[in-house]
Amino acid sequence: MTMGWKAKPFYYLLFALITVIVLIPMALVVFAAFKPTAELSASSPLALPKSLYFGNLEAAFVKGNILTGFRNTAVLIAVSVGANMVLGTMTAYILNRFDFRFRKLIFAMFTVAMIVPYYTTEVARFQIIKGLGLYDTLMAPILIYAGTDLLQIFIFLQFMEKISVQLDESAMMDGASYFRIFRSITFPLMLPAAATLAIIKVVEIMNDMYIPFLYMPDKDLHTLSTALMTFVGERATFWNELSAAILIVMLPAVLIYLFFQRYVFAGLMDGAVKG
Amino acid sequence: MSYSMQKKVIIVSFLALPIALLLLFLLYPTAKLLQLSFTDWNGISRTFEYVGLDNYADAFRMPELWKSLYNNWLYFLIHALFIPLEIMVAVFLNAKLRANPFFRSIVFLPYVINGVAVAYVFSYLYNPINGPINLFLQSIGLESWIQRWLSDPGVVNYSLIAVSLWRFCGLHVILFLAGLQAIPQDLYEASKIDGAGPMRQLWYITIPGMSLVIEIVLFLNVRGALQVFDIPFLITQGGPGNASSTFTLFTVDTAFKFNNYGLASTMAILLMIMIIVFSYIQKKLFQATGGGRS
Amino acid sequence: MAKRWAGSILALLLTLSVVLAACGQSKDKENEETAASSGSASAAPASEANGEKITIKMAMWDVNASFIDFLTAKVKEYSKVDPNVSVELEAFKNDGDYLKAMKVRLSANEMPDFFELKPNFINDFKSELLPLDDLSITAKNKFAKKYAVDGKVLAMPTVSFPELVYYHPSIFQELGLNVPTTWQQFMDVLNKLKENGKYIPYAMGGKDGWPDYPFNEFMHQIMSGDENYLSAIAAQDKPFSEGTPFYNAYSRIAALYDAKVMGPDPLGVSWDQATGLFESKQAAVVAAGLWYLDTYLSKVGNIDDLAAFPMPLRDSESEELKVMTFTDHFYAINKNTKNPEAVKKFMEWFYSPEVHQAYVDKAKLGAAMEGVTANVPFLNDFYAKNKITPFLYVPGNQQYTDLINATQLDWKKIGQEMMAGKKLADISAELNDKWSKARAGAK
Repeated sequence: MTMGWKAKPFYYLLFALITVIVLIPMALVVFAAFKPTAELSASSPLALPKSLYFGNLEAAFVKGNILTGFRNTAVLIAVSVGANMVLGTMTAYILNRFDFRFRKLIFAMFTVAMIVPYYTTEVARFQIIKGLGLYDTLMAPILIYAGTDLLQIFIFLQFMEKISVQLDESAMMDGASYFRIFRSITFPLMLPAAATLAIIKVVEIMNDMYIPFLYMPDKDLHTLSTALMTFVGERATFWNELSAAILIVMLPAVLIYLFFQRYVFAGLMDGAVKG
Repeated sequence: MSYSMQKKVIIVSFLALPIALLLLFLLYPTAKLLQLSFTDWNGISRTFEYVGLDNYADAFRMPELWKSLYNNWLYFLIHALFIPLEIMVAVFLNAKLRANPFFRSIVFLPYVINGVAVAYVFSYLYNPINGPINLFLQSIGLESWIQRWLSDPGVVNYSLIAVSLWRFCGLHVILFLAGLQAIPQDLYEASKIDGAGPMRQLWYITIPGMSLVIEIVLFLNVRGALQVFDIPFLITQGGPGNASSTFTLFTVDTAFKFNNYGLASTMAILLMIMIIVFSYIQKKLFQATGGGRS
Repeated sequence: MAKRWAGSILALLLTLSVVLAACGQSKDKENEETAASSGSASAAPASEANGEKITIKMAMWDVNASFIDFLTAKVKEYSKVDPNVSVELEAFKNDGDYLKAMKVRLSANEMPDFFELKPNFINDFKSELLPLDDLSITAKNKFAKKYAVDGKVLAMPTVSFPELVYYHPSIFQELGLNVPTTWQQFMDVLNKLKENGKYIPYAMGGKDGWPDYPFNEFMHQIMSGDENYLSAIAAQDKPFSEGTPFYNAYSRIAALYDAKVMGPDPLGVSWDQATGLFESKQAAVVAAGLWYLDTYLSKVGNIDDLAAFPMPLRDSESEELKVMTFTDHFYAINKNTKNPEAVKKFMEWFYSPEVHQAYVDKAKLGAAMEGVTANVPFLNDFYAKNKITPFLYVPGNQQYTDLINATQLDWKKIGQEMMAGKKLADISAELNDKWSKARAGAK
């Protein structure tokens, strides 16, 4: 679509405004994170720091148990996002390629799961985790995160529509099993959509703090977000220390997003949620 | 193995794990919730008794609960009012302009940031002492616009909804954008030849073309607005008093602070029912007003 | 077909749970083994019976990080006393998060072995606690008996301390103010500070929802003169009407909030910010328990310009000066602990004179054990200077708790509503209405 000359100034004005609204709060965090406490109270929050002071970041990094957090978050992400993608594509493959009796029931189950109110269901979920012997282990959040949901299935299904059934059929003529077809034809072709959903999932897991807080109280099992939020709750009394902590927790997610964003958009765009 | 046998094997083996996880971590807890909603369990004791529909009757007799639902309604309404703007932004981003990749990443950025961090940042922005928003208004001579952002019961909900908008609008825009990309370009070309202006194109091609995405966003909005918890919990804890409380905040307090897990389960079940009913009504309305044409 | 489906899903679920349980690994196995050993050796501590390593899980919360650090290090020392036992401390930053986590864990029998409670939590958890009457330390605790449930001591306090009003003597000197000894004088002092305009008279962190507790939670209790006031109102249909202790206390509170002596936006600032203003001498007065002393010291570095007076809740100096005295940091043993003897032994050590001395000195709070006096000159000074009558905080009975839960009454939230402008007449009418309905429903 092209744009008329009248729309252009409006376009730039609108997006300049959006950019400012998005970036200013983040900029203020960065400013404060590099100010020593004395400068923080003396200067305006809107002012740039006079020099780069790393004391706050150092305090958050050292006292906040960040390295442990990085390690655990990395493990969580690697295992659960991997599992999540495999399970999601498997589910979509079955739902798209086969017709069977309980297909509708399965959709109904995933739909109900979409509106489950969290927090109040936590008591029952906790009992299950405990019953499986997973309380206070990394397996607890991994299993919870690994499950696929309706939105994922939906996007995978849209994507599968584009993968021609003829590919499957010609493979079947060569005597390939369904599993082989999935593994060597369907799954590789679904990778662009999987990449998109994986990045979104990575960001979600990095930002979640409720599940690790509840299921992994052990300090050695702190994730990036629980480590930092514990630090914030216990010791960061000044806004500059708090900002440093926020910056550390914000940065990995933002970097991952900026680095991989073309996959996010590419996947969403041609996986394409069609009308 | 024959393909018909293979089919059975692969269906069972591929679905076993996803369905098992779904049952274990989502559906069983929900069934449990339904069971508890008919009991007087206090959340601590080892025993409970069935009380029939008492909790449901009690829930309807709690004026504060329904007052807090009004706040959920505000979240829903204001987010819904932003949808046309979100669509417009998506339409702009869909155009072939050099700056668009940059603006695209900017728009989605807030959604990527940790929600707890966002809550802390906005608590700071709204601060009455040396708070950046107030300082900014002062510096441009708009002292009269300064509000008690988080402590005036008439203002606090709007301050919190602004945080919610900041966080979630980008997600909606990106979803709309994905929907736009699926509309074949030749439809626009053809309508141009027929002499259709941009408004007609928007109404007759764009909106019907992405009706499914619009339905998804509308559903996400109902679900999100009815389940709002993090933002008020982290910024105001529902205060001052109950002024910025929401249905879920009220439910969680009932369960954990006021030891009435049975009643809280009832509230959670009511919440699920409301999500189903409202999204159904909304879907019908949307289709009736012509969103479904395609 | 349907049956076969259900069968195969069930089978898969079972396999799944077995596999999962297997990777759930060592942690549980370890516990089971220690459980088995403790069962066989009930007289001697399990650890001594077979030399097996035991971990005691302990949970508590505190707003003050330096206190958490202290306690974490302190309980590690126990391994020197009993090399087979290590104590693992889990600290929370506030009681809300703490309670939520504990209640979720309770339903799955995952409570820690040894954990902290507030006096008003004991009733809720009473069926989960091990009676402590046979411990040697119980008799030496000054308050334990007072908080017994059905005649059994279930939780033991560590500290006792008064609620104070902190102020900066330098500001009082500068403005020629005297320490108030009646409520009227207290209001006068705040009004004079306001007229002068240089300082915020009172630092209220109303955004946090709890810093109004010295007024909204405690004042009506003290003014009733009855330590069992909370249980008493549970037996009344309309305990919030005009003329009741509640109404009298809340009229004063309303006048206090209406006087606008708490800065431009008391509801907009948090406790950290409000006390930050007090610590940097921009605010003159703040009411809080003695526990705030340690926070102040850790932030300011000294207490040269800090003093405290009892909140003067009396009309004339001829009346007694009652001061809310809070007994706190209760600890209890989980009834279902796998190592009851080891935990009891640890508890005896935890309340032994040496450890207790270190605990109260660090917390800067009064000792709950006989024979130990906290080295807190500030507190001793306060008692020497002021002639007060301690008013012991006693939590309400079961009936009171049930009514609070049924009406979802939160005194501190009412305080926030008053600061936001809600009228006392409306509050009183609403509370009476809800209270009498809840009482009728409970019968």
